[in-house]
Amino acid sequence: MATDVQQEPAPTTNDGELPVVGIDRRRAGLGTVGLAGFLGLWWLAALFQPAYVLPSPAVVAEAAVAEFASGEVFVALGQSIQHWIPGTIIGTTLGVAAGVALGWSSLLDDISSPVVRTLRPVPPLALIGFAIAWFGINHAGAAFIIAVGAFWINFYASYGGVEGVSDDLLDVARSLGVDGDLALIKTVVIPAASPEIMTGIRTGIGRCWMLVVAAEIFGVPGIGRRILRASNNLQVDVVITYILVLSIMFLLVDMAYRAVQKRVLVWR
Amino acid sequence: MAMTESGGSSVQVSGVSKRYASEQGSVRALADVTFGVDPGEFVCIVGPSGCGKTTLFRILAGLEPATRGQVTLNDSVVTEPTPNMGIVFQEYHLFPWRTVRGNIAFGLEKAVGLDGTDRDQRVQQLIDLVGLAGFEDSYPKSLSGGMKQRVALARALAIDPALLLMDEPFGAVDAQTRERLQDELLDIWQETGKTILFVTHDVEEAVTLADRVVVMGRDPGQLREIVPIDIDRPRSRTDAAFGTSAERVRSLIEN
Repeated sequence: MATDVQQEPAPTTNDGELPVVGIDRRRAGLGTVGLAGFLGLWWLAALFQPAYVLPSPAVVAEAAVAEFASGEVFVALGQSIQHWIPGTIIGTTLGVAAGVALGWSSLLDDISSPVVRTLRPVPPLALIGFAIAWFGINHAGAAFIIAVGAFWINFYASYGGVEGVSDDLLDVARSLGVDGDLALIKTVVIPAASPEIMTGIRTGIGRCWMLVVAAEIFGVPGIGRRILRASNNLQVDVVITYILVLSIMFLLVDMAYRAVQKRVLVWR
Repeated sequence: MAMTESGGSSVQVSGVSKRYASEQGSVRALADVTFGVDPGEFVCIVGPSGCGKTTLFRILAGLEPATRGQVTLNDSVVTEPTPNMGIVFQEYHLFPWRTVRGNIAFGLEKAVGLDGTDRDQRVQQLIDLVGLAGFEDSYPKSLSGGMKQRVALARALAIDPALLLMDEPFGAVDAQTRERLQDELLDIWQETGKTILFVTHDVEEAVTLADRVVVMGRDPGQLREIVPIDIDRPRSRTDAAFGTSAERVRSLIEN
């Protein structure tokens, strides 16, 4: 009976490779055109404005070179990373764990529902007072703000993912001898919900870069602090430099994450 | 095939009734269904949609409780899915994040007294048994319907259940593949000696496969009759005896 398998439609490995490359090239080309157009418009607009309202790309480039040359950028980046990394990791871990637990157990969900609904609308920035009181004006305090942001995104993504896990897969697993909540969560629920969980983590990572600026409002050093200080001094070129640094960091981390995600979710 | 199989087990369905609550009061899905299955027997449950055969399947599998009556498997009452029975659904329900090999190995990973080498060997035997050699590392998304159902069958067989419970397993594949899968299932049944309970709405399929056909009628939840199919295998659909049996089953469903 092994011989007749071949008569069925052959499994496809992937979509054609060549057209994909073509589309990528086309997208890259159009993207370059769009970027050039944006820079052109910016330049044109800057001609009629003083530098403290809108500096031209050339002025920003000069400021960027100066900030990089003095090493200021790397110092600020190094400081921000010290709360971005722990904040993101802690918030993501707790958010996924809570989302999976409450998505799985209706008992836990019912118990925690009033608390969750009360805390959910609180913006991370409203918790600055707690950050200072509990942790102080330091990396731990900023990490707390970032972690709160990461927590909710991951909580809801994981919760939704777990709710969507098919009962049939759970039935199959039970009939194959998987017994008990923890075993089912490990062997079925988390893998089945992993696309949603991983999308949540990705959104959370991006959100945390934005929160870096906000979390430094109360005086923790880093890129956000540099942006706020430059704003107060009307150094718009420096502000834009650090915004670009944030964008580039976000892009790099996001690209790396997407590569990992693609590998983990190769079965999709 | 040098696989050690545990052989079949007996099933007894005793006075099973099922009622569902609905807005118009309770609705009857099964009414006092009773029949037995001998060890190693191949029994098909056939009936039109809405006759309660899927409800019966879910109660047999322990996925749903009966309102009254009970199902026993080798004299122990079925209350939840157990590794004593392998379940195969129409929609396959493969684990999409696992390869063919990973799906088949799923039930063996927690098995006691089975070390890694034994497990790999058993998985490879099952892959060969269902004719999927060469596709071990494929994910379900890249398999055809027929191949997916082969994986589901191998996965259910992996834990060496005494009973295979199948709910319209070949309902979602094309006619040609279906006939081939039926032949393969009969081969596997004869090779392993499992007891098989097979739900279908296809009268020809039931008469092709079964030792006995449990016929359910249009009035919901009623077992009409149990029709023995005393035709030697392999059976041909053009055979006169086949036609007579199929006609008999069909008339029981309709009247």
